[in-house]
Amino acid sequence: MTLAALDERALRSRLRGPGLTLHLPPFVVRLHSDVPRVATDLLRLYGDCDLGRDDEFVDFHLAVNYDRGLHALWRRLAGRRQARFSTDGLAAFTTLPATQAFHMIEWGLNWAVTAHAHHYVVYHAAVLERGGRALVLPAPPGSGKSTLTAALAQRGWRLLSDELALLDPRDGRLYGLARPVNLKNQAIALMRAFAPGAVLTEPVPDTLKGTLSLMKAPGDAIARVREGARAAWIVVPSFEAGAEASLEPLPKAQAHLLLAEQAFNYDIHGVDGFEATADLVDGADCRAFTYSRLDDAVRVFDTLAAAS
Amino acid sequence: MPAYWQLIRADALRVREWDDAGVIYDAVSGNTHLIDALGLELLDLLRQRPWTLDELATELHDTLPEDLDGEAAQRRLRLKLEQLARLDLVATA
Amino acid sequence: MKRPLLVDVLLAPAESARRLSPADWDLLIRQARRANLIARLATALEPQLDALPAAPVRHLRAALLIARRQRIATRWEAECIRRALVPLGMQPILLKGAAYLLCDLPAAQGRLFGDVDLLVPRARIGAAEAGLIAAGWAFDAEISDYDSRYYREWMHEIPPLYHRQRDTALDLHHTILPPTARVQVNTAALFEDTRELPGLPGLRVLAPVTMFLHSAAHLFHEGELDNGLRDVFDLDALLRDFGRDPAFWAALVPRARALGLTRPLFHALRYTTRLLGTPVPADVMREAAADSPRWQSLLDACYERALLPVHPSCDGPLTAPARLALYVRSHWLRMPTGLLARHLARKAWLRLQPPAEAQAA
Repeated sequence: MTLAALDERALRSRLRGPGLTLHLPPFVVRLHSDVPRVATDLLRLYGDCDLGRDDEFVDFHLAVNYDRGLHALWRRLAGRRQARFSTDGLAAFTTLPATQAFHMIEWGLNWAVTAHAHHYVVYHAAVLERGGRALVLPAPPGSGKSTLTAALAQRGWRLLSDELALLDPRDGRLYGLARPVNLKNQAIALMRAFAPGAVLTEPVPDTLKGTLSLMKAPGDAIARVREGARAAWIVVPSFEAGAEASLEPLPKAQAHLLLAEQAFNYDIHGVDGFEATADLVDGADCRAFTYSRLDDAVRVFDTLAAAS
Repeated sequence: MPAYWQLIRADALRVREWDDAGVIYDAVSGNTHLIDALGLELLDLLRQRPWTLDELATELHDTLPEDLDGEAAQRRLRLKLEQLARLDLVATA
Repeated sequence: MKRPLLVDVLLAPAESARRLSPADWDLLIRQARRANLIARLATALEPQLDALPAAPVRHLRAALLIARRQRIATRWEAECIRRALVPLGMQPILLKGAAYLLCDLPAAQGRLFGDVDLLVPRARIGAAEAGLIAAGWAFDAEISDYDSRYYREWMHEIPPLYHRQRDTALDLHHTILPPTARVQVNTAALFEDTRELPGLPGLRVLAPVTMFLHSAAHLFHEGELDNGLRDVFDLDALLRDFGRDPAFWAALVPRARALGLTRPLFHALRYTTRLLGTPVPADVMREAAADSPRWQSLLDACYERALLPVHPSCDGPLTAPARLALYVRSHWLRMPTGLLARHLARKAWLRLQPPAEAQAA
């Protein structure tokens, strides 16, 4: 049974009570929240996901609840109610406005994967797949990676992940959770125009990162989430206003170091992390990519996919 | 008596190379370093045995750029070896 | 009080693991995580991991990877400390987790810890600070004036140091309890009986009896017991390992008297035997009990609650007051009354402030 089978009221009750168990292969997640809006966004973005049981083993327990206590009362009276994230019973030190509750769950899930999922080498990169081959886009924040990823996902590439590339060192394949893509500020309007059929959450203004929205993984991305792929291309994107799209070779040693620096648990894997990253880079075409227009970017990657 | 350069712990090192550069993993410090072509050559030679600076300069004479000769070549090599020493990969005996 | 699932499994890993349902595994992993014992659990179950359910085993293997990484990082950190301080003529003593690990003690198996603790004589603290700073360590630039004074002037300790490149933490000590503490430790005696660390010439560790007493003193003066259960397991592991030598038991109480640590010794033996069934010779228990505290049953009630994993599944109605009582007690043990009142008042005030304002204060 999928999440879409629950109506919003039943879902809210579950989130306030025993919790919602969701299958997000390869993980099982349990969510708790007393913030009603969380149910709305969950249904919009995770409706296709399978529901889990109350008695099964859960990888990550996450909760985002209204903040309580004396200091919370002052904020509530001022209309700036706060929510607090907690995991495995450990509460975060700071709170955020409750309007950001769903984003806090997304960030919390990202954190949980990077903190615990050492079954994989986890790189901070987007991964998309086409024809059985994976495109990896490592990029530091502010490089336009998420907008580019969203665009490619809407133009024939299957989304594996926007943020977390999971490399299984045993088979050398990349996996993702097919979770929503982060869009911020102008990118939101841009994506609505670029892909009118895209499913987006109601934008949340005034976060530390600007106005935020989340785009559901399109097409069969969620249905095919268990299918990994080997990396055929590693491309470091960089957005430059007014630039013509250009794809340059990137020395493999540099690509290795960049991936290692962008990884969350490279060090933990020791020599195995070193070899797995070197193998990844070895088998892929490594490039640096500069662009300003999404249509140009889509065209360049189409050509890349067709050429090999 | 001239100083000999040597690898501090050959067994702990893993190297992967592509074209003109490579990466090296040091199992004792847990660090990964980017190494250029000259660095890779030096590490390769030092893996065989300790070398003095003069010996390295003679051996690598054909590898270094042509405009570098004699003292300039030695200086280039010494700077590269000192850089590798700061990464705790090589040391003088 | 019901024993937590985590303790049951740690005390009998092979048999318990076979009988766990998926929901049990779920609870076990969460308790282990919150108690900072997941790596110890993974080490205890390591021989059977292939036969256990795949989903929880992934988390256990992840913990083993982290522990392995920490072993490498700690050895390297010790080497860097050695290079910074030994040429200056010092022989720093490594304490606690780093010491267990570098001595390859069973207590180190599956331990996850952050800071390295170092002990030097008080006369050499200034030189040690300078040597470490020259080698790339620095104090936290954002430490508030209050906190800096708290450390230096009132507690006579050094604020934590952080290495700028490796981002590792180092606590430099010149004694094992704050000089302001009500228990006056015979610090000079600490330095009398130390051991070399093989492979790290110049670095030293405390002798076994002293190492145990230090661990006990640390736990039973500690106010925040997030790692309390883990520390009790450490004490248990040290006793089982060192206790194979009869000379260890014979020296334990006399050395505790010489150092001024008879009270923490009593607590350590009491709670390891009561919580974990650690084998302790009866005569040693009797001798140690000569210094039992006046409020024994009250302390028992507090510690038996506070030494459980910090997880909702282990909380009862008296857990929060028990933790608070031990928190206040630890401050009372560490500082004179006037100072204590001021310090606690400030901490209480900070807790009521929203975080942004607290940082500006």
